[in-house]
Amino acid sequence: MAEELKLFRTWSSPFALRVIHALKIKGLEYETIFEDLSSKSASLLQYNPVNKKVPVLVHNEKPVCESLVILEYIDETWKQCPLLPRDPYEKAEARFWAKFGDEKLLSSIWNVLITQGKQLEEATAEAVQNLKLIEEQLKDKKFFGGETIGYLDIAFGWTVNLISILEEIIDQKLVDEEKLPLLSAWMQNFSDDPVIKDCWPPRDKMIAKYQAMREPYLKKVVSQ
Amino acid sequence: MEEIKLLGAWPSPYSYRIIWALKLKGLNYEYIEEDLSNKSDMLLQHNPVHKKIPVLIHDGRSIAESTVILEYIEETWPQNPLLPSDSHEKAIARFWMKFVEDKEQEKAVEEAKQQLKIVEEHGLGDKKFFCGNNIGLTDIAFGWMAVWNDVIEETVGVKIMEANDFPRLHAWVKNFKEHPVLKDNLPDRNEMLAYYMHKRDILLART
Repeated sequence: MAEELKLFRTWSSPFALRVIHALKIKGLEYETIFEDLSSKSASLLQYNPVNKKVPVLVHNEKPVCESLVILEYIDETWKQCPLLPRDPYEKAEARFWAKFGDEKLLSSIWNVLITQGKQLEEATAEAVQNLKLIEEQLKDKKFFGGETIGYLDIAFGWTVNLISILEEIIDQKLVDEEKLPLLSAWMQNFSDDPVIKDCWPPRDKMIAKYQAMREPYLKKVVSQ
Repeated sequence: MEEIKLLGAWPSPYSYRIIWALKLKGLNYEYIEEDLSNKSDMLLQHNPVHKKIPVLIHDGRSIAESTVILEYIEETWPQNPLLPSDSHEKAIARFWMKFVEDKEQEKAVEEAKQQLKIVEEHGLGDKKFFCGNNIGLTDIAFGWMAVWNDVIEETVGVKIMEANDFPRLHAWVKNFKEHPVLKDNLPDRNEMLAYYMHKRDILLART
């Protein structure tokens, strides 16, 4: 039976990028369905009635939701180019750091976006501290997965795009080559990878979107 | 000879998740109770990033974050599988494990009831346990609902998970608590009530 893969996503979602990266690395064909989250399609509500979010991967009419869950599903279903390590302990480490990225790192980067002045300084310091912890996991490898891109590289991939967008908006470096040399190099290697580099959403649209997300928080401070 | 240690704290549902998984797998382990108001060097050494329990130490290597530990246990000791073997069903099990992690913070009563409805209809459905007839990681992740929920409800004096509104969840709670392995590994209800009442008194005294 021919495999049918559909990916429901928005144009900008960093979590959808994870799924795209994984599908491309595995060499899988899929159909993209763009969702407007202010007006969700009947299909999306049918495939993800629980939290009605994207991304959703639908494989032969069976939906899988939550980007990290989707990554594991893809890795288990298609064995070529394995993404997760084989060893259970290394797998646990990868999952631990992916969770850290989604919780601690994401919220600290969000705080960088929505603050200014002294608060921005503090938010930046915290974000850099979290990035340092992540950098330590690279050790002397090219990618978190070793010589090739793996689960954790894909899990962190959103930072590569979003951080550079943020840096432009706040006109400040978050990932300084001197302070975070290994992470800097990783970001370059990840971006340059032939599978990854054509997947980024349009940069000018991203800048406009995140600028708009930042505005209300800046206005709030000024009006106090 | 394998050495398994678990750093936990008795009132913590996260700690119990690991106890339940280890017991269901029939594994021997050393349990070390942590005083969270005075964290041990061992905890700080084995979970320097979050400094939280539970932490599993297997042959000297430490794993933190309860859902990560659960997956590790499942992969390292394949007896009595706690996840379905079918990839899609496994993905559904993991989806619900993530759902309960995200939703534990629900404070408002109406929202909490809505979330419970979703769990009852979409998660549990007509099944005995979340993945079918046998208990699994998803049930373990939801375990706080079976054991802690009514203690918390009694402590705050607000009933959310009424039997009439959530018959399937109530049946699941009963099946969970009566499971032959789990029933001897539940925290003492009176001790829990005393613990949470005491915590509440402290909080109220402060306001």
